[in-house]
Amino acid sequence: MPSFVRQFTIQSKDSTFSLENSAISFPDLCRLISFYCLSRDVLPFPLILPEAIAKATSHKQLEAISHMGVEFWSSPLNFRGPRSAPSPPDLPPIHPADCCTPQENTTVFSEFCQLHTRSPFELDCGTGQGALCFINPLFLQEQQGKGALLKRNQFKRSFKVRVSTENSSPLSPPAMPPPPPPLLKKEKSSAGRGNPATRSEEDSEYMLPCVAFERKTSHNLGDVTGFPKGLALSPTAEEEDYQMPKILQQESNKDVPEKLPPAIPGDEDLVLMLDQGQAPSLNELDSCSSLSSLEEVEESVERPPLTRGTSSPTPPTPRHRPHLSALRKMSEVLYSFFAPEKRIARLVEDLSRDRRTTFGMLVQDFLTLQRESREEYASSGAMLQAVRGFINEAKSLLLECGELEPPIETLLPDEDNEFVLEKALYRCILKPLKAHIDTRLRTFHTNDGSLQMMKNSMQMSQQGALKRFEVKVPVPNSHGIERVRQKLTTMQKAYSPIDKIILLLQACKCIYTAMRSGSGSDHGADEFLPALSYVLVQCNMPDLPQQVEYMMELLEPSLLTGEGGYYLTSVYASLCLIQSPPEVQPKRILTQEMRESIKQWSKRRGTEANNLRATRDSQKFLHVVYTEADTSVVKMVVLKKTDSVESFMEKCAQKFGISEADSYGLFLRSEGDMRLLSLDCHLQDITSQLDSGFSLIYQRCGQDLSKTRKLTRGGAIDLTEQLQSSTC
Amino acid sequence: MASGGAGGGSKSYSFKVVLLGEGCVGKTSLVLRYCENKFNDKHITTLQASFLTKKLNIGGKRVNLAIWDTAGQERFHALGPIYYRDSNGAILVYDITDEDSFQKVKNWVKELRKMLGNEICLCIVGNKIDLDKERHVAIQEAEGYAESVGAKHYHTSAKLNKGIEELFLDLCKRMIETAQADERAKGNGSNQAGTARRGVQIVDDEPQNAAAAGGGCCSSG
Repeated sequence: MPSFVRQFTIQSKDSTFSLENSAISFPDLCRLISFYCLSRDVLPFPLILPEAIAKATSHKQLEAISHMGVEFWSSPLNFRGPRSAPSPPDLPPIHPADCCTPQENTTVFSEFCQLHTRSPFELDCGTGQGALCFINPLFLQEQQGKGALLKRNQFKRSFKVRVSTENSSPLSPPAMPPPPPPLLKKEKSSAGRGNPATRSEEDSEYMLPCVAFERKTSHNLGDVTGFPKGLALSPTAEEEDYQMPKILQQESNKDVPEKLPPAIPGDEDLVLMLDQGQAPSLNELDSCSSLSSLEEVEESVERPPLTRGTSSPTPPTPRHRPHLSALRKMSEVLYSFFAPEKRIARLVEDLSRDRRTTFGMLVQDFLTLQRESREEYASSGAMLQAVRGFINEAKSLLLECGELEPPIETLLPDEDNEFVLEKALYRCILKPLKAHIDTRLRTFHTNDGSLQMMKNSMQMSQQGALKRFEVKVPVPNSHGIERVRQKLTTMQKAYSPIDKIILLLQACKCIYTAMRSGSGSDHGADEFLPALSYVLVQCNMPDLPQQVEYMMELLEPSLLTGEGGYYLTSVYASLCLIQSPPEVQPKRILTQEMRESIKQWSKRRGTEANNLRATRDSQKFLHVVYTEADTSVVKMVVLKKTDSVESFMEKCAQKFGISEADSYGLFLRSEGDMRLLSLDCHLQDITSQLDSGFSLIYQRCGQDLSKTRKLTRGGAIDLTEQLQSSTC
Repeated sequence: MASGGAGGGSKSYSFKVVLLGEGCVGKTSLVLRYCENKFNDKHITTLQASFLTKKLNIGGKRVNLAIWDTAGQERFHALGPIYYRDSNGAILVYDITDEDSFQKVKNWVKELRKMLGNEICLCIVGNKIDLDKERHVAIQEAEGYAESVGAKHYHTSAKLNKGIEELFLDLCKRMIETAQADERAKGNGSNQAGTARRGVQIVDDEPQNAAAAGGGCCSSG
């Protein structure tokens, strides 16, 4: 190990990470690293990237460097002049070839390598030894002033570099490199870098992973969930989505140029818009790759539970999986470690299995109750409603109980958590129950005869369906029908209602494609509903109504109003039509019972949506800094509308594990002033008045107030200041 | 759905608008014209026109419109309630050259008023005014009828892109007003405007239906 490399131990305590001897702890490694890029704290100086990495302009170069592993530090590439000295003027542009380390260096490397590299499996095990982490310079250059979302996406972008650093045999390229992430053209890499002659080539070569999709997705989640948007989103960008009607523009402001329609319509279609115009993208719905619940079906790598609190790390027990390289596996693990959505899904899942927690106990009890069929339900609908009701309950418990560590609010911008939690809950509730629910649905519909009736109706309609449904547009041929059937079969297998909806939309898209093949024109419901009915009859899947019921009852209610909801409604309507006897008068297609059940369903789910919204509106989460001696910890604490300072402090005491809560006080810091809040204050009033420019400090009364400023040491940025910007 | 920003004063509304009318009256062209600003005889960027959305900024209020198309053929008429449940607005389209399509609109109005009450904003739209020479529905009659049922009447041409912006803008304003009134009535002032859902009030307009069901000609599913 070169002498100039110094090691600092990262310790993990109570699910926070901190550098040894430092008073500042972080909810995750990403935050720790990004903090130390800005502030040195206990380090001799803030982290910066080695010049070779900072100067790299293409993915290839970074990859080549990362393949060198630890050896990079002692390689000639790692320029180590005095920190302030200007870089050598004639540093040649780096070519990937330069970075490739000759094979014979293997032994040299192993002799010199003193650094303990750790497998990513151990990354989060809390044994007190951190792992070496490379950060893509693009991250550093672009992250300034951008929101958490972008930051996260950039982490995703750089994970590959990290992967190879951690684990690949450092001197030989992997035998089977992982397939690169899907690439999008990058707008522009940082200007002024690299050789101009080669830049254009590199630019075109340097593609970004498909993050735009996810970014847009989460952008829209705010709307989907009705959760207030955080500041992570640029308000101007958001405003642009809402066009002022042209008439109004002309009336009100003649200077404002007419807004152009969204740049590229195809691009807009990328958005996963299940709700309110955020409907997915029939245009982009061809692959199943984004369907988490299906991925998981094939997922066979067993993973260690993430460390929570004091639970001891379990060694990983990877099963044999011949078709995936070790590297690929590793990248999956790392990816899931760094992607907050996946991390939350894992945290929630682990929590749900841990009976020692309130949440875990609640979930496990419910699963047992359901599996043993101890609950008697009057109908299939009642059973599904019970499940949905439980998901709602579990979600609010999860948000309130504070058992999720680190809290979700520290991992994701607010507007995303609803959706991410929803998916995480599907995973720990619906996934284990899927088979059971399917069986029971089947039993219900066998017993009430509706399954048989649908079988008969579909059978009878096989002939003459085109005429019966008045189809006047081209319909899918046998190949197309097979494709739709495949989509619907896959849909049956998915446990997540969201994934099911996406597959349903894919099936609808196949129908539209066939419809357009004749005239090439766009079709509305006049043409679609007949064609859909025809196709559904041809697919001949009598248990489709059960799938529809599953989605209608289990989808988060706000997801029922968008494009997904529309096509789900269309399938429902179509099935009603198919089921009605061909000779029946059109007016009688919808029986009184059907009408009644739609009415009930609509009312119930509408009320549910309103209730969920009301709950969301009545609470918010605040960052609270807890300081004790030289330690500061930041946690999120839920503030309910009804909370007084006193009741809020009780939660703080619980959250930070304080037993003699009487001697503690809650301090409000705003514009440099710090004052103790009296117990009977209404905290929500105070915080809403101050909007965002404040921080809350929970600490022992009488403690020297200046201590909280201890965080500001030579050159370090003020942590509480930083929090102010993130609380809003 | 109202997702008003945490500290901001601007509100956002989400409205569901259902599109009703006989086949061939030009429902699809109308809504395509509005959402894509093009008539459907040339460029095609989307595959479908059954479900469309539009985001608007009306006087600082953000409006998310979701437009649900329905199949207009007689055979599909009965499926209406499945589509129009929870709608904030309905656009009932007829073809000014087709007297029959205007009668169909009247049927829809009756049904909607019965099922959804007065809270749904109704727009009656005479489309194809580019074919005014072949007009079969008198302007006075149509406007008079609209007024009598508390609906607004509009004349449009999807082909010439006439009257469509006005129609939707006006509808949005009315839906905002209704939502605000709703909100005030609730008196909670919380941002739940526009999503105040109304359950479908299904009133049985056919008393003989029960007898028919008893007679076994209706499925019980």
